[in-house]
Amino acid sequence: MDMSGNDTNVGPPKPSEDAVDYRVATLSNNVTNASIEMITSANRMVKSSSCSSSAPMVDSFCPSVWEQQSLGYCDTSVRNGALLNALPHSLTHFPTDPAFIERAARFSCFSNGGSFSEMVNPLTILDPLNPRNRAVGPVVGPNEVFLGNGSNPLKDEKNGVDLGGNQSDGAEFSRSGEREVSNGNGWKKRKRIEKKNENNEAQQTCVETTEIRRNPRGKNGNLEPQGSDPPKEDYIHVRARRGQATNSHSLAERIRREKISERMKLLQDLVPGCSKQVTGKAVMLDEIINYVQSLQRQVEFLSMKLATVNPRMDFNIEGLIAKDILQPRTGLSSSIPFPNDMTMLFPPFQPTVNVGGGFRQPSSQHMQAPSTAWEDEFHNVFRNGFNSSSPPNNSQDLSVTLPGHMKDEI
Amino acid sequence: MTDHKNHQIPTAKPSSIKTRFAIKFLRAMNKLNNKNKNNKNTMSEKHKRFLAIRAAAHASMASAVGPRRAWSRAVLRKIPNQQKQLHYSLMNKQRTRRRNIRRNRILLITRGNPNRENYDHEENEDEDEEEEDLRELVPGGKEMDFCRLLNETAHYIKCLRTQVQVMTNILHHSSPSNILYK
Repeated sequence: MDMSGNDTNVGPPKPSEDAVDYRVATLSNNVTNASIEMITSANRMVKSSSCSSSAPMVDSFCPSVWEQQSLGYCDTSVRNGALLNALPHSLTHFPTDPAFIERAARFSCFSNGGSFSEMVNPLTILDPLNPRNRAVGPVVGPNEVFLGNGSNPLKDEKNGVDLGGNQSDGAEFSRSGEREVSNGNGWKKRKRIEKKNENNEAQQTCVETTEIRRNPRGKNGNLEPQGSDPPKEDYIHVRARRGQATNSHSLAERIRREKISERMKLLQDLVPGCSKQVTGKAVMLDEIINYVQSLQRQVEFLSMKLATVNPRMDFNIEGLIAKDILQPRTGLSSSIPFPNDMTMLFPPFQPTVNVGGGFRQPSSQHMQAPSTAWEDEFHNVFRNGFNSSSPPNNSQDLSVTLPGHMKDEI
Repeated sequence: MTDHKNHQIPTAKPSSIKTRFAIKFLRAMNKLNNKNKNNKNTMSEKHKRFLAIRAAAHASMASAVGPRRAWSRAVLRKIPNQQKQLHYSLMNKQRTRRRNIRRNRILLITRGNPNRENYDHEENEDEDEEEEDLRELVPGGKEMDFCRLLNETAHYIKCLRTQVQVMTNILHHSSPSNILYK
């Protein structure tokens, strides 16, 4: 069997390969066709349904074959089984059981029309989905969230293992959907990753999941227009978990909540005062607000000090930077209590400055609210801050009244 | 000073936010100092100087961050520096328009109030106040949805921290007596 004469042999008598080749060609053009998904899913399915030893072979086989544009081999070999000897060496591991061949043949015939009706018929599982999909499609349409509209049949058909995989995929989606927002390729990649995960976990029922996953995409829009849509808009692909409502609003809510909790965790690490156990959302927000307020006040205080300290000096920029970067202030990270007497503050505001008058950084001061013995504005300001009263007023009080206070003293 | 280099102090990258902020801030300070050569040292002068320095701190921080962040853009918008404003607005028009379209869509779904009431009753009232507080604190926080607000808050906290660090270092180095500092 000659492999070099591939094109001439394959071309006329087997139109399916043409269609397949066309899709192979468009694969590199980044067109998100469902049929491409079909082919990849066919690969995966082939991989999963066959014996494990052949799985890596199939994977390595198919892309290499596609690159050579000789997909006909795959088909013909699958169908006949007689060409196995003539095929490239990697194919010798190709399984020959008739069930597998039948399945692969069935999937290869999908590439003919690429229409979903063809897809649906052999897999009757999809039928109950279709009305649901259609009903959902226009509702969700321009919006971001894809329903896990396969979730209900999923409940019926699958074991918990598969759904366990789906859960992680769902979480992965919600996160990855955010990052790969306007990338049609990214969407494809996501789907493939998801399919791989599935196949690792539940080999038997992967067929249905891939088909189901593909359906909402198809039902929400046509094949061709969707090729151009994903790059412009962003779709967040979510899967409804088992036992949860599949209403679009509840899904959106869930996504939102997950995002928010993720970010709150990040903020927990940033804000020094947050212990991990204590947190509810409101408590966390309180802490965050206090911390931001205290940081802002620190900046104001420092700028005040800078204003009074350096009326005459010119800064040597390069020299200062060389020193600056190498010396993060240790006082910032430790919780140093404020000095008790206000008199320490007064010298900085005089022209003859003794800045190092024992002033320590008000870092994490909000943690030590009851222990400070500040008088006057600072006392009130920080205490009010701990009770999270209106912050802007406090900061302005600080800036306005303190010079006034200094005026009295001086 | 060379001893400090051998300690385990993280060295900043030459183009980190820290260095950028430090450079800009110091330049601003120099400008202010040069302008204010006549030292009256009255309280009003000091107050003005304080305000100017504070504004310079915020502005240099925001410009060190650049227009990448919503809060920095909000701060930059407030600066009466038209060139900068124009520059940034031109750069970001396309990006922000697309982003706003996307964001509005997400907002349509996730922020519809009647839906929220269906699902979290208790949480809403407590958190709304704090959410509003946070929005007031973080510049530009009023037009963001909550997730984005949290993102911006995280970045804002980081930048505020570096700001405080740099300013304390400046103070430390420019003060004549370093006795009580470590």
